[in-house]
Amino acid sequence: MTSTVKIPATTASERSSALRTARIDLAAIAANFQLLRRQYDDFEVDLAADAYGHGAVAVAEAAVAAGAGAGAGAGARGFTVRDEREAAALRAAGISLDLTVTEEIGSDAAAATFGVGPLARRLGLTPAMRVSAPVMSTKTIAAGEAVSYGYTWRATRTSRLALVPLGYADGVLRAASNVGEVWLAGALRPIVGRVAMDVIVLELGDTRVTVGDEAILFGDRELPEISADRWGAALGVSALEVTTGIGSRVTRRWVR
Amino acid sequence: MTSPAPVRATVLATVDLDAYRRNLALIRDRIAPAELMVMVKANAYGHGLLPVARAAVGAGIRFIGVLDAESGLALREDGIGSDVRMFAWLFGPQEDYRRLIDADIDLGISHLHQLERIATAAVGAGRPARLHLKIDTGLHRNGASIDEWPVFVERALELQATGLVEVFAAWTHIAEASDAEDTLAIERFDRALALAQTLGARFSLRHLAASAAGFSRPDARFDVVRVGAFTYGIAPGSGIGPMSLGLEPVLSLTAEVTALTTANGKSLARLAVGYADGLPSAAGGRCTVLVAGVQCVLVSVFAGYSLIDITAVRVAVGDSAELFGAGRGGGNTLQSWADALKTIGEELVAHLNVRVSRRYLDELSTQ
Ligand SMILES: Cc1ncc(COP(=O)(O)O)c(C=O)c1O
Repeated sequence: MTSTVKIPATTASERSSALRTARIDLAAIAANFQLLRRQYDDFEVDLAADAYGHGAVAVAEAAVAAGAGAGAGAGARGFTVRDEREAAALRAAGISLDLTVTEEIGSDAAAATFGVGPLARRLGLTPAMRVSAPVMSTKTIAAGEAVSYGYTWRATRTSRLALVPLGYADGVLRAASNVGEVWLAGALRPIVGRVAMDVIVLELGDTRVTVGDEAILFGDRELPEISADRWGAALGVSALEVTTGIGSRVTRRWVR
Repeated sequence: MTSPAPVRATVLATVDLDAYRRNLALIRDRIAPAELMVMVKANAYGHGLLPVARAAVGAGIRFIGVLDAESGLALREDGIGSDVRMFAWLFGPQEDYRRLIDADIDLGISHLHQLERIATAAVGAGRPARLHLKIDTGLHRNGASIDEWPVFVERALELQATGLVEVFAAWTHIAEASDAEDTLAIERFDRALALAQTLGARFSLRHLAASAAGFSRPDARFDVVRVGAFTYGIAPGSGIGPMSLGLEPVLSLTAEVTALTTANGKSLARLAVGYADGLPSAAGGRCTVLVAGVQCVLVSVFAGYSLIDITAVRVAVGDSAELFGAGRGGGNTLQSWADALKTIGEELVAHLNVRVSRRYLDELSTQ
């Protein structure tokens, strides 16, 4: 069963009719947490950087519901945060567990809670963040025509293209220009031309795609080949840096 | 209107609205008689949507490019009235156009399917939807293709005759691949305008250029120039810095030294800025920061902090390090960071996390 968690104090971008979406699977986070806690008795969920883009309050609540802070002594761990401001935000949301404030955040175990990073892969944990956006438009261009700023990509044959509203302001690194691939209509499609601030263009081959079809950047449970780890590895950054960099225009939808 | 300094902001983005206004003045002067549309998409390129838009309106700007519905509606809610044209052009397949028409937001559109949805939304709105029709002149993102253009314009004119829409403007966006390529795009735009004219369109506005072409090419300016990067003092790079154009960087990023350590015989300091703040880890080993007047190598960037090499300088905990800024006193500009990272300044500021405290310098409003 899937239900949307109501998060108060939405910003304007969160009210949008979801041009770009990061679906956060809180059940996956809860299950990852429980498994990690069985493996490491001193395991503490790291909620720094808004839980690396997953939403610190929603993740804290899911972890509490999954048993964080329960029990006595060494088993009753709280959460890790980076500074007083993050701590205050959790307190304001009613989280009462002990909070460790430290700059030493973002460890491999922290990433594993969110189902990304080497430890998560070793333990078979589930990725929690899935980033997607609908195709805004499609077009066909002739051989020799080019795409996006600086015309860094030119079609060598008639090519079908799809415009997707995810750009570097959303965390699609500009380094993914002519390098990254995005899942659409059953296959990975290359990003052609430069990643712009707000959009990317995908090359479709002969596949038919319609406006509104969903392009998935990473994180679909059914598609391990498009993990945040893989996406980051192609660009030389960790999966945790990838999820942290998913921008505030990308509407978070928390599901249990 | 200087905002109070936030409590213990160990990493801080300082946005100089006076510098922003000076950039606006310089650009307006340069592109006149064309009008300046300031671009505030992506949270005003990371500078903060509301403070930047208010400063622009205060400086007499009458066109604001917002990209999407949410930014446009946020500015209308903030009280920016209809004497300021708000231009949006990225809409979802399920966009609720009615709230945009009601908020008097101009719609930049590219497709017949958008036209039909907008016409339906305009029924009973009490005012026509104001349209800017986009032609694709080679960038191949959105915009009606040259083949689609006549049908697109004709349908828009039909709907105009019913009073549901107003065919107000024609526009395009160019690739800035080379002067020759931009010339071709301008020619395609001119031809599309002429064709629309023969179909009966009477555009009140025509716009094509962004920062670079608008600044350097009179033939690219038409009636309005949509300028983002240059208003923030962000230059194109490849040898062209903001200062060479007379522009001033608007945003500077500073972080506090939180600890001193040693590793492998090197003296290091910790800075309270990491990729959690949107600083790319790729900056480690590639960029420098200014501490106590001396350039120090940024050794590495972690999630919660960074390490800098302080072998050549005396540093104390609590000192402030400037990552990039106005380029004064031997410091870096955003441009030098972007060059070192083989990217553009826009990416670095747009990527800065929203949680990083922004402080606004605003002498004009304080007086
Ligand atoms: C349609 C459109 N016009 C103008 C601009 C502003 O470009 P610049 O920041 O180069 O001035 C942009 C931003 O990329 C844009 O998408």
